[in-house]
Amino acid sequence: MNIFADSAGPLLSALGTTIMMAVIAGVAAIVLGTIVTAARISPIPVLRGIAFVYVQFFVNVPLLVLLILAVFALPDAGLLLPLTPTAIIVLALYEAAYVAEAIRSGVNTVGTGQIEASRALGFTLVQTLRLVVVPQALRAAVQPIGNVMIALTMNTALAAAIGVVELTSEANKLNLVQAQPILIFSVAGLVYMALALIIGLSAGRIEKRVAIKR
Amino acid sequence: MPSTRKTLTRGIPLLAITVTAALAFSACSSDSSAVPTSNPTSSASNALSSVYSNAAVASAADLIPDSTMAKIKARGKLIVAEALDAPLLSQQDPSNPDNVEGFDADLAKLLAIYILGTPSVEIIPPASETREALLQNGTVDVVFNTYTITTERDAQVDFAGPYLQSGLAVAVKSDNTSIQSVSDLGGKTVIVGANTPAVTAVPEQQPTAKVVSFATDPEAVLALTQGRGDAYVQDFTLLASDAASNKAIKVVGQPFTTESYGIGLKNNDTQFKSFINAWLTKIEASGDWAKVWNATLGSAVTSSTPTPPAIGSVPGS
Repeated sequence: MNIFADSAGPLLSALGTTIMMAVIAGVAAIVLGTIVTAARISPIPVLRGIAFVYVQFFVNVPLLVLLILAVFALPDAGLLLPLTPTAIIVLALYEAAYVAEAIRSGVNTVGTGQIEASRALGFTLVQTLRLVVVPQALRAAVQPIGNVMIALTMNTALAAAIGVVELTSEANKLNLVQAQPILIFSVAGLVYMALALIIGLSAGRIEKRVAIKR
Repeated sequence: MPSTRKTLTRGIPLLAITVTAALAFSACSSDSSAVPTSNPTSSASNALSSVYSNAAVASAADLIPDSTMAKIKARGKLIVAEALDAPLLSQQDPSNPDNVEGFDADLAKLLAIYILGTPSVEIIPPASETREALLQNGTVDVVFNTYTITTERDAQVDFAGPYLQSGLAVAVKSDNTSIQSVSDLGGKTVIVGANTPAVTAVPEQQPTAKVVSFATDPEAVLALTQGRGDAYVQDFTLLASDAASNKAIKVVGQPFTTESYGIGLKNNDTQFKSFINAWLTKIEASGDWAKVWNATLGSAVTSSTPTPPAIGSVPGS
């Protein structure tokens, strides 16, 4: 395993970039996705419409297309952001649409009776959402959100195409010198698998911990 | 209104079927096979048609029984790993997908003629990161893919040639006067093509330079003109062709490395390697090599036709 030891430094820093992108984009996607879901189920038609269009747009446009557009089209509009922040923003916006759909499926588990009850008790819309609907919806959506986070982590690899030096890009570079694609990409695949396993297991534990005992 | 809407919705599936059918028919008529096969008769560069019709063909004695070349002959086509998106080297014609042209593509056709008598080439576009695997598992017979010969790669595959020598050069925006050559790149942001020799060559020359890689040449050129980097390091010939078509960038200085490109072959197939080296010697002596160079790479640069590199002249070949 000499070839990995020799370039351990760049590989670890590339892995750090991958994890950093996944964590920042993941947190942002969960926050944004929750807001989008709240808009999606709100009684205000304009908000519902905007949230619907947002989700449809990001679910139906490939991530690579979005990344390339953000990197090469925004500078023509006068906005030149560094590559890594661009990739993180696009990833967060894209995965937020999937998070929103996951939470919406959670919302559907909250009985209509509870919402009627909260209105009968005089809760405002925000109170109903904040105190009744969202806490239960998020609990039900922990595993689906975990799956979205795994997908997000895998999707960070696409940032290699726009010049971000993350794990896939560094594996490419190493292979260019060492010419051992099967070995190098198998190891990179195992690292991604380990990341996915960590996210999946954590999601399972969080789900157990936040579950409401009935 | 309701009746109109109903008619409209009823019309949509019908329209969809018509469009699909029309697309399917047009696809059938223009492209009989899904795999791009090279056909020099439809080639736009008629300059090379005489080269094809007079190209050397191996004698029956050269096709040693049970050798790789005899198997290719029996199969009736040469399976080549070559790009479809490399201008001047191996570029697929978007309006005629069967037509793949460029230095690598045309040499691959000549090799097919040498073995088979016809330019019957099946192209498998490789990613730079999968060339060794494609050769090792026998998916392709040869790799024509600006495949730089290195000793590390030679441990995994065999190289015939080198058949072309080139070098990396520096391009900058036309209004940039501070960068004159590779020695001015210290501390600068340098754009390179992902999986090109520049990825490793730039840090070797300028350890303080920050390297940003983009997947394709057009992306890298766009990134340079948009100011994502101070310079773009790429193969000299490719840069010359970029600069010729795009006034926003210019090439500065001379090539600062020597890249020797080889034809990738399965490891330890010495019969096939000496067979291909013999073919290279023949086309270089007959002038076919120079004709192909002039029609492809030579069209982008003003310099005269170079002398082909001596076969086996670099470590690993």
